[in-house]
Amino acid sequence: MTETHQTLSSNKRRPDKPAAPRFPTLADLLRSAYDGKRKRITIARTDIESMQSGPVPEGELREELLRLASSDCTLERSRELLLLGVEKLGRHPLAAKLRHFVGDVLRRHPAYQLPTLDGVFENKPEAAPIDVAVKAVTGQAFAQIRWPDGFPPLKKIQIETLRYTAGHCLLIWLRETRGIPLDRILYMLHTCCWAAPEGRTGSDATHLRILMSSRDRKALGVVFSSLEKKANEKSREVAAARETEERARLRVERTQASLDEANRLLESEISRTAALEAQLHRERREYEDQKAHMRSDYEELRGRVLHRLRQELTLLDEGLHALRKQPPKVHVMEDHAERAVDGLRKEIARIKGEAE
Amino acid sequence: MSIVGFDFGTTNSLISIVRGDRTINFLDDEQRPIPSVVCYEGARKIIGREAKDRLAGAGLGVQGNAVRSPKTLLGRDSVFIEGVERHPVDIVADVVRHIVEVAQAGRRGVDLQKISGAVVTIPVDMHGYRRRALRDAFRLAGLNIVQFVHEPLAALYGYFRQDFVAMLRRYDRKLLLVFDWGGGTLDLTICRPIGDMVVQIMNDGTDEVGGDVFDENILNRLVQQVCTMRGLAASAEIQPGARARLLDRCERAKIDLSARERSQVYVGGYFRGTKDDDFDYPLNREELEEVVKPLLDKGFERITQILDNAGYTPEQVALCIATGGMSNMPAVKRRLHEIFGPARVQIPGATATLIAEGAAWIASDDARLRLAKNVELVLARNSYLPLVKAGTIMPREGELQRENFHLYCTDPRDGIAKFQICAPKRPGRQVMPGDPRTHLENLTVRVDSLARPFQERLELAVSINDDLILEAHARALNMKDEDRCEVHNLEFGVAFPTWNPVDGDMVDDGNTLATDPHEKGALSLRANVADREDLSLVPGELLYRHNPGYFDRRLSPPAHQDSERLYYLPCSLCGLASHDPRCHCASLLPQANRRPDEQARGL
Repeated sequence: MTETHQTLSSNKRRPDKPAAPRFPTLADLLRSAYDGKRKRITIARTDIESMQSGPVPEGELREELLRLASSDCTLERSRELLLLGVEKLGRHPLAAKLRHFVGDVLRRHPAYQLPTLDGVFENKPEAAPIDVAVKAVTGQAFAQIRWPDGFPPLKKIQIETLRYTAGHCLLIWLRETRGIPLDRILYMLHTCCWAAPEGRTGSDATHLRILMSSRDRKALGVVFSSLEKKANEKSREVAAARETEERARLRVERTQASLDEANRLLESEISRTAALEAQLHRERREYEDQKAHMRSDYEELRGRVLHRLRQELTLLDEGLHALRKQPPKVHVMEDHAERAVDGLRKEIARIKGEAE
Repeated sequence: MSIVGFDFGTTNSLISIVRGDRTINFLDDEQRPIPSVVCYEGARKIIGREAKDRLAGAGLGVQGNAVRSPKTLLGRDSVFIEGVERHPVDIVADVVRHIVEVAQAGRRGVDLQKISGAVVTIPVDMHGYRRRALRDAFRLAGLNIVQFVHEPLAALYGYFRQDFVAMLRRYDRKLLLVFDWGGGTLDLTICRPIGDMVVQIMNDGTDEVGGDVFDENILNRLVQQVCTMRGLAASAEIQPGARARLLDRCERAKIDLSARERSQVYVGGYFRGTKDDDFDYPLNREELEEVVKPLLDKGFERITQILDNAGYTPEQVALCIATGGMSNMPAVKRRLHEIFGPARVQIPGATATLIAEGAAWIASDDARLRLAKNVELVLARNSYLPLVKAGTIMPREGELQRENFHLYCTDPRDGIAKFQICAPKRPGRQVMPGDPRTHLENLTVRVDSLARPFQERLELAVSINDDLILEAHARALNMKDEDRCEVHNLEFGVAFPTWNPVDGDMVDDGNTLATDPHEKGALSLRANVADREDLSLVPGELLYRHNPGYFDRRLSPPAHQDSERLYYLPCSLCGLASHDPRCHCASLLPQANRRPDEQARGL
């Protein structure tokens, strides 16, 4: 439940006849905030309802209010209005109207006239990051700010107040418009406002004194509880991360083992495949070689037999030719036939010998 | 792509290739090598067996329109074949192309992948210019010669390759005689296995006793006998082509007489214009051996002569390997058995194909030839400068081994510097100065006879090209004279593919320079390195170019460097060369630097 709802529910316990609103219009609230003596403002439900139904300050009235607001050199009232909007109005439409007005006040304030802040209020994409913008605002030389004519120079304490309120206002504005979380606001408050300058950290005794003499216990409590909450959260996250890490480590080990096993298997399979491929290649080549040699052997045998047959045929042919002569040359036929027979016998013996 | 072994023989040629652990020989349809014969009939070329059948004679070279063994014509500018001028390189290219085509077109052609090159065998005495022409012919035929190898060495490699580990172990450092007695030539080589290599010790070759000469002699004898018996004139007319048929019958009778005592040589229709036109003669073995005896004697004389020249006796030969067609002749076998004993004579079964098979194995094993012996330069007082060391890997196609030597002339009085190139008879690097040498070539260049010793500088460039030819080029730098020579009869070694390193004595460490022998030499090595920075070691003319102040007289430069400078530079006064007799300006020099003739003239 938001704070606005709590406020509304608490209002229910009041008497039935509501009192007349203190701030019938938003202009009244603003005038009261910037003109009144009290810096802290409270509004009731009736005020909100009245302001909601009332007109929004525009034109001359708005300009008058802005002129009035320009007297808030230290921006304390503007911060109050912004905080009021956050506390009491929440997401009420009136909060946007109030924020819109305070935004105009801030834009006109000399503390926000830095080039770094261009587009920050308008939330433009090319605008500087939030950290940079807040650091630029809080880190600027406030003593050298040129105030409009008629405004007396700020005292040292006012300057110091302005340094913080300017940062606060920007942070509240950014929270409302960009929804930055509380821990981030805390971080930026620490870095831009609270942190001691470098080299001036002080001793434990000094820190103890500062802590003990601090009067803003609520703020400290908020900060500490926030930090504690965050630390607890981080501790839980660390514990969870450690568990996850352990589980992941175990899983990695198991995966690594199975991967190693798979790699071993793969390597053995690759080497087996390579060996098989080499063997296949070798056997294929051997087969090809064997085939070539068998073909060659066949050709050799065929050629040799052919050569022998042709030679013996020539001899027998010539012998026949001699036999047909008148008178027949029997001795030639006899010689050639013997040689042919010898040659054929020799070839047969050779083939038989090779076969054996 | 494969590299084949190519036996481009005088009478027959053959391609062989290694597949697996055996060779495949690309023979013709009747398992015979392809005759190296080409016949030109107009524009038609007939090559191989068909061309050989037309030959009427057994001689080599041009016969009518045919050329037998065109390899023998290489080196000539051109030959005329029936009036047509042809270049021997083109003729050889025709034969080579035909042999490749026959091999690829045959039934075994599927086993002959695309040929990327060939290891080609050559006779041991083939001259350099003929090798170059042979390489050109192969290139013209579309085949690159990766490496030449001597025919007997290829035969030995092929014979050993079947079981080379056992053979190398058995014949380690023993003497081997290998001869290739083929149809055209007798090639001999004495080898010795050293480690994993076989190295040649000495080579010899002749084309006077080839197998074809035997056939020709037998034919002539038979014709003479028949004409005498029948009372015919020796010039009796014969039928066309009859002589070719008779030559074929003589060859057949020669083969048959290895198993028979008698063989009838018969050619029907041989004579023209006679009553009995047949040629009929009973040839017996005794008569055949009587006919071939002079040729056999001549051939065996070469065998004994090469052993004598190498300083060995037949008893020292551990193995005699006989290849070539003539090795199967009974008379040859008998004579070999008489000389070496049957146990030491090996006649392989495949005598016709062994050389091509050896070349194919050399190609398959990627075996590189190495120089078997140092090639040396004779220096003064008989010391030797190794120009190319034994074991140097021989260049392959497109490669060249080159080395330059810078030398001095020690005794220029006769005006000639003499370079004698020799090789020791002993293979290997470790050669003693007293070992016998074989003289290879001489080179002479003119030098200034008046120059002092060591003053005339000489350059000797030695190179070995992919044709296995050693070229030496000598130059005299001062006289601008030069001389060249080629050495083609070198001996080589070839290593078998074993895991053992090559014998240390044959290892090529890439350093062919010898130690400084200038103390003894008529030509001495001019070293150009020094171990210290001493300007007095720099040649004077070179030093003057870089540091003229060094020769300032007041600094007393070393006389020898001053003299060198003046010798190599033209005279600064007259512009003539310093050794020119017309230059008298040398009188300006100190007395010690004057030449003797100038001193004699009192200049």
